Amino acid sequence: MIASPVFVVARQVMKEAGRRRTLPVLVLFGCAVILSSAFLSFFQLGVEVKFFKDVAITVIFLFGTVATLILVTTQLSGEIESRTIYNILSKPIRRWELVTGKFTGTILAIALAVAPMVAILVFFIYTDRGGSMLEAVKAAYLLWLAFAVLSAIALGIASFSSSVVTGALTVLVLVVSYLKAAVTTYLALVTQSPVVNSLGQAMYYLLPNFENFNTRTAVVHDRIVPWAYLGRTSLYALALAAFFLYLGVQIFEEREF
Amino acid sequence: MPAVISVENLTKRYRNPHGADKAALNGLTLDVPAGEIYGFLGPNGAGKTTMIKLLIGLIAPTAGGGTILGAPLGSVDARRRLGFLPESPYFYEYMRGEELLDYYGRLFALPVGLRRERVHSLLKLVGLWESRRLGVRKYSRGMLQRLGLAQALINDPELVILDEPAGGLDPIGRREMRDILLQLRDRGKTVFLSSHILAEVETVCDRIAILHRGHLMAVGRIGDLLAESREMELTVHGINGHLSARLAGIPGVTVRHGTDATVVVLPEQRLVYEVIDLVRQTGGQVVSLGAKRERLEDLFVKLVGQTTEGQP
Repeated sequence: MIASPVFVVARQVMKEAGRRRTLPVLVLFGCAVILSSAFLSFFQLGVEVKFFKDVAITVIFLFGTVATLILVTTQLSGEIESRTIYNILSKPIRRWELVTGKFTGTILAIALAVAPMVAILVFFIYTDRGGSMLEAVKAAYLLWLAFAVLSAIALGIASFSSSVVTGALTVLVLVVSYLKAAVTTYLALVTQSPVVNSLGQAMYYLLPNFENFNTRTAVVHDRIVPWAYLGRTSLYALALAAFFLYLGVQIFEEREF
Repeated sequence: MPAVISVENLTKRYRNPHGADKAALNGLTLDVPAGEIYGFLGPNGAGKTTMIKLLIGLIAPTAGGGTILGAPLGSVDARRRLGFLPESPYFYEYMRGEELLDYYGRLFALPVGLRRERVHSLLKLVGLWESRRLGVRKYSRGMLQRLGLAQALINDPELVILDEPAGGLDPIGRREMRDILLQLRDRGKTVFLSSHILAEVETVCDRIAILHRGHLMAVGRIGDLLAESREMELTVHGINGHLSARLAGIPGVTVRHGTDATVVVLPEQRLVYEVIDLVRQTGGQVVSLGAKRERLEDLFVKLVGQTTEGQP
């Protein structure tokens, strides 16, 4: 079978994710934490289900975020720093195909990485802990969308910077995205400058609202996340990922090696 | 014969941090004919790697342009039909040699059967068959260079661009590399070879271009560039100090003493008999006599040296 260069690169990213020990170790550690919380919560009558679901989803979010950052920051910039980019770009692959392949491989690898943690969560909900398995899967799916957006942002940054700078800037974007409401409110309070406030507003609308992907509270309290919300959030993630990837590709197309 | 690489007025300028403009390549016009081994020479910083990067599309020209196999420089169509070995190639260390070649084969969209066959034959060609399942991180410098050559040939390219292919290879590896290049030429492939090793280039290349500070200094067939001069060269045994002094006294004659023999270079043929008589009279022995032929190294030093002199 002849595959498109995008899938050839994606396959290589997934292979790399499996071969480098960091990701498997993170997955094992995440699974261990979720399993521990399952057994610990067993002894806390009344609160065990909520506690377990709360911990499991938080662990999936934290470990998924760390795994995404580790995997994605070493992709494009790592390729440039280790000079393997010369061999790749001398082959019949377009630069946008390389960036898209890296993105596809990263989000598939992250899906595979969080799958065991999600499986443990669903298994314990199914056996004797109560709650909706479907809602847990929906929550995991939304978190995966957040990881996809984060990957696109990191690849966008990696198109013009080194691995270290990519890692640092991506973390900064993630933190500022979570705090953006507070930051814009604070800016409005401390300065009367229309320029600064406009910049704050621009940042507010440009940066993703990662809270949209967090349905932990709904899962913990057995509330249903509507399918319409899932659809809207999926489109939101798609638009954000496409926007940041587009920016990254445009910069990467012009970059010289 | 059609040109495989054809560039016209190819220029690449870089701006340094102080804002000054520096030309890494200055209006280069060059045609590389098909089916030849083309040597691309120049000292460090001459612009050789810049030229190769422009050909591959890793950088864009400031001015000028050209074609590779009829397709624009750096285009996907051009890259589909060429193979490239970068200087000191780097690979994914987590992959095995065989796996890495398979990956590059996939990027060329080679069907699985052909890909497997190509990977196996190339691993055997470059002498890495026994190490095919070894992780690339365990490969020596020479093995990486061999793997680099194998990946450059994975698509059976019409044009092979090699940047310092003998780097890191031992004498046997260099000989094998030379044999592979000659085999490629025999199969009608074109090889564009950038190298510092002048003896290597002189042995395998049909045609050369010499680059210095971004300018083309000489281009042509090696035989034409290294023209035989009117100078004659005698190798003499048993020369004594008296004879040496007498020879050195003849205008234009140079005497170089080696460990076993002395080489006497005569400016004109008419001096040959006179010098032979002198050698015989003093008990010396003429071992060989021939027209002095310029070596590539002489030409290189002459051309590069000329422009270096007088420059800051």
